Amino acid sequence: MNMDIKKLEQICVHLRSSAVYKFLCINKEFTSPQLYLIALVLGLIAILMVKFSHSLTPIAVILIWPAFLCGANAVRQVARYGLGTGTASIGYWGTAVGATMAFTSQFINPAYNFVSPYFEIFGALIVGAVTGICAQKIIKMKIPVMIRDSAVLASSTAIIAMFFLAMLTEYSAQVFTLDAYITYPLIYIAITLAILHPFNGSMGAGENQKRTLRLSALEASMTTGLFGLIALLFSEALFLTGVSVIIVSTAGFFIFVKRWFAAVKEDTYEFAWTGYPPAEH
Amino acid sequence: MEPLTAMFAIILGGVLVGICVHFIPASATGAMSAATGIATGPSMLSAGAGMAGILSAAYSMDSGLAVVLASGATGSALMMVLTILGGNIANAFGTGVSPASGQTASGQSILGKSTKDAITGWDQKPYISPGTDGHGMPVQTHISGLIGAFIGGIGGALVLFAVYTLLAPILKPEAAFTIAGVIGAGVFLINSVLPAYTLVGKTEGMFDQKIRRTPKTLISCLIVSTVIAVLIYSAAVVI
Amino acid sequence: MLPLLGTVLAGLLAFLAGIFEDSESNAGSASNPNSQVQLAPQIGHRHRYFNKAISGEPPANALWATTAATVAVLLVAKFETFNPVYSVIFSSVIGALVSTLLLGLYGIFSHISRVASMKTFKQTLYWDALYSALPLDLSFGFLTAFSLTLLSFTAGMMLNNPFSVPLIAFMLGITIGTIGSSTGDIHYGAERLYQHHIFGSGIPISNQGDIDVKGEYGYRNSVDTPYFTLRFGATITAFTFGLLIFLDSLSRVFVFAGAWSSVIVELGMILIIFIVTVYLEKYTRDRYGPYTR
Repeated sequence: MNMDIKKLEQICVHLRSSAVYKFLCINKEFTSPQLYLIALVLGLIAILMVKFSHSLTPIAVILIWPAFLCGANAVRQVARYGLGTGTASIGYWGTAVGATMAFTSQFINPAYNFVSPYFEIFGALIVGAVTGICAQKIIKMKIPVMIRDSAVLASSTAIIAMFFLAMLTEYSAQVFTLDAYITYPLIYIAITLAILHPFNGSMGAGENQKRTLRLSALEASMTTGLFGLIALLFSEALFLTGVSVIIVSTAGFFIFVKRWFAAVKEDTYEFAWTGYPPAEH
Repeated sequence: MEPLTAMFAIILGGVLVGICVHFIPASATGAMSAATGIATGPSMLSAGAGMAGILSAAYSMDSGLAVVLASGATGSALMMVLTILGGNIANAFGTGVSPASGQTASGQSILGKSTKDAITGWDQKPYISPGTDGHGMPVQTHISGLIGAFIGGIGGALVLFAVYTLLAPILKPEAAFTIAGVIGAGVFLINSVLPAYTLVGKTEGMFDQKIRRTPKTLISCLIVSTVIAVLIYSAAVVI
Repeated sequence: MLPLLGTVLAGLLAFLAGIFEDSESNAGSASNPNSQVQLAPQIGHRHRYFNKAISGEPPANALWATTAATVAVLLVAKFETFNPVYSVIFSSVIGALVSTLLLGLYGIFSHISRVASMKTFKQTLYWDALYSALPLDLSFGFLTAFSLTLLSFTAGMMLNNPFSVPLIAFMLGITIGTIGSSTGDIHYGAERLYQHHIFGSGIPISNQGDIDVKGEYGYRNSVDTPYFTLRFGATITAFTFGLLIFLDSLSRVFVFAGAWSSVIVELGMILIIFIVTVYLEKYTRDRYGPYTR
């Protein structure tokens, strides 16, 4: 009996120190490369799914939400060092790189269509990395994660923008009322706000990654719901797609609100319906 | 415009946008009348001026390059001069302070140790509130803002025209205009945030010590604009 | 005739949009003066303001304007057969409603999140401070999005701007955010938040964060702010943005020199406004005099 328990203990100790367990459980915070890998793989699957068939869009929408989390986390990592220029400018700039790269996909010659989405996503990665290198080596900002997180931010916004473009433009039925280019400004600015708001809205002494990422998941579902509405109005061929995306996004919204608010309840000092702050001197 | 010339025009436009951010005076704490400059951050302010310039330049797109550049420059400059007038009115009658430059008052302007305004010769030191770094927009920063807005407007309009000529052969006219506008806005926004890293939140324009950091911005914007221009060119022309 | 009518209409809509944009950014403390509301609990002044920290004003206003304009353009394409003018107005209302919904959600989340990050400074989350300021904020946001959408339609259809309507709305949103943040926020940040400091001085760095927590009666709420700033700050924002759109469109009505006439007229306008600004500075220097204790 004793021998078995000793052996069991040895196995447990061995397991706890193994690399797999460390990877799965010990991480208190997600790191940028981890989130980026998840976002890249799932995002590429989502874009290819939507290009292949429009009825798979509701499932693809769920797969694109990690890209929002990756972008919001990259903003958080860079802005935490106190850039002096504000979180909004970083989000602006990151989405400008990603979305500009994504829009270049619209004037690629149709004969070379196999190049996208890889060209845009890795192009954005290159531009983001180059900007990070310029900021680190030429302007000499002392932020250690600048290069890595600039590249991750630019690339994740490119993934999201490519997804929305694919959702709105690649359909087999030839019935359409308007051309897709009128939605480009909305794609740009909706992604900007969804990426920069989670950290900017939670900024403060008690900010932690768990609450910020849950808020970012919440806003990801809001943004995809908005684009479901746009798809619904855009053409008759996308009507069912739009309705299903709105339903999936609303379900995600309510689930994430509950999770985020549970994190808020742990962190807030006190809730009160009304009252006066305590008297000061 | 030939496609290759258009690619160089995008690079030049991006560099001009990067330079203009150094000339436009802006500070985030100006909203509390605690620093000289327009009361916004530098990157957002340049983006606003640039958008006004691009909107203005779009009206005259069929009239040739020179008119487009001039319209963009004057559109940006009109927005800048009106914003400065509005800011000075708000400071003068809302908070009750007169425009004064904080850097010049403490003798740190780039022109030497004098505490007088460079263009009008008015003394700045007695007019700043103690504890603040100046408020409002005195004449020297006003001129610097106008120069910055001209440069930024030219840069934005140049990028717009160059992308339009790249796209006009492949797409129909309305699509080419709008996509050129979106890409122009995107390149503008990318290049207006890089100098903000150098300026760390506030600048007083061309009479500020921070103008010496312009070469760093120039090189960074050159590199980033080159990469973007090569990617856009290859997407439009090569593939 | 049509460009002149379009100019006047654009100027009027821009003026209204300026009033509403500044009031909306003051009904929930946004943008640059928000740093003061954020600083206040750190030095012990717990407050009951609506801490709406969405982002800076330019991207936020760009989002409301672009959402409203995109939805409106898509609806106009469906309703155009009924009546062109009424379809534009009706679609703009529905577009502005969608963007108001977004504004409300972003505002609520940012207030709750910001207060939740202030646990060490013991700032309580008062629900009524949020819910009483929210309808005022949403109404001003609706009116801002509505007027900006109508302005984009005017610029696109009557003034012959070649960009599509959502892109014009995007650029106008960034511009109005920049102007509102540079002019109207000074009245909110330096005057309304610091009423117990003297008039006639900027706010020194040592006093920042020492904002008014109590108001004319009881504790100051975000509903009290537009009541005050509407009288001055909103008017200046309206004046600046309205003049910009009006003068820019007016310069295109002249045709005496071909394509260059608008450039010449605008240069003249810039010179006149520059001279007015220099006179204003001279007037304040003579009238107010140097800073005395």
